[in-house]
Amino acid sequence: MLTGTKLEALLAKLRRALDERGDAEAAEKLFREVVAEAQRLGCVSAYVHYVLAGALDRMGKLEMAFDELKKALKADPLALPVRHSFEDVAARLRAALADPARAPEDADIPRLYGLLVEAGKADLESHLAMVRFAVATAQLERARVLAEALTTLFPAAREAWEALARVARAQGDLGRATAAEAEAGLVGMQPPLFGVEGKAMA
Amino acid sequence: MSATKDDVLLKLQAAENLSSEDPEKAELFLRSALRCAEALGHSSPTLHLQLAELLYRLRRRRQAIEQVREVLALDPFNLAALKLRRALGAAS
Repeated sequence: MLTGTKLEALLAKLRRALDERGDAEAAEKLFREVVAEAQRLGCVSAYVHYVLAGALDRMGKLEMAFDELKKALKADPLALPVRHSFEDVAARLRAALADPARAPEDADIPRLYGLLVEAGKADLESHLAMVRFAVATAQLERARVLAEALTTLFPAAREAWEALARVARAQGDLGRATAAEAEAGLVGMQPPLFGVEGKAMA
Repeated sequence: MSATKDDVLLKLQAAENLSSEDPEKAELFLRSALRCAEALGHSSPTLHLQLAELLYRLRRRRQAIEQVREVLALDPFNLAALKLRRALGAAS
C-alpha cells in the first residue's frame, strides 16, 4: 500500500490540480503527473482517472475524457458514477459522429467510430456514418461488408437496408440493390394494431 | 446460482435510489452488492465509499470509518474518502 511522504506529495499535487481554476492545461499536466507517478509506484487509481476525465471533458477534450473513463472503469468496474459519466460521454461521441452537419468524408469519422466500436458503444447511426464515410472515400468493399452486417444486426431498421441498397447500387450490383430496397419497403409496413383495419369512428 | 456483475450493478442502482427515503434498506442492498462483488473477485473502492457515506449519514461512525479504510487501502488517492475520514474525525 502506498503511504508516507510520497503519497502526501502526490495528494498535494492532486489537490492543486483540482483547485486549478484559471489554467486548465496546467491542471491537466498535474493530473497526468499524478497518474504517471502513481503508476510507477504500482497504483492505478480509478478516482484520479475519473477526476482527470471530468477536467478533460470541461476542456472540450471529449475523446481523451472517454479514454480516461475507460481506464477508471477498468480499475473499478463497479463504480456507478464512472459508469454514468462513461455512458454520457459515449452518447455525446455518438451524437458528434452522427452530426448531420459533418461531411460524409470527414477524416475524424474513422477515429470516432473506432473509439465507439472498441468500447462496445456504437449504435445504428454510428455504423451508418461509417458506411457513408466508406462510400464517400471510395472504399466500396468495406462499405458493403459493413452494410451487410448492419442488416443482420438491425434487420428491422429501414436505414440499414437503404444503406445496403445504396452501396450495392454504387458497386453495380443491381440485384442486391433491388432486393435491399424491397426489404426496406417491407420494414416500413407495420401490421395494424390489434389487427383492426380502417379509421376509428365515434 | 451465483451473481453476475450486472446483478451487483442493479443492487448498487437500487441502493442509490433508496438512499434518501430508506437508507436502512439501501444499506442492505449495498452490503449484498459487496458480498456478491467479493464472490466475483472484485474489490471496488467506490462501492465501499458509497457504503461509508451512507453509514456516516446514519451516524454509525465506527462502521463508516471501517469502510473509509477499505476505500483508502484500495485507492489511496480517493480524495472523497480522505475528506470523509476528516469529517469522521478519524486518524490516518
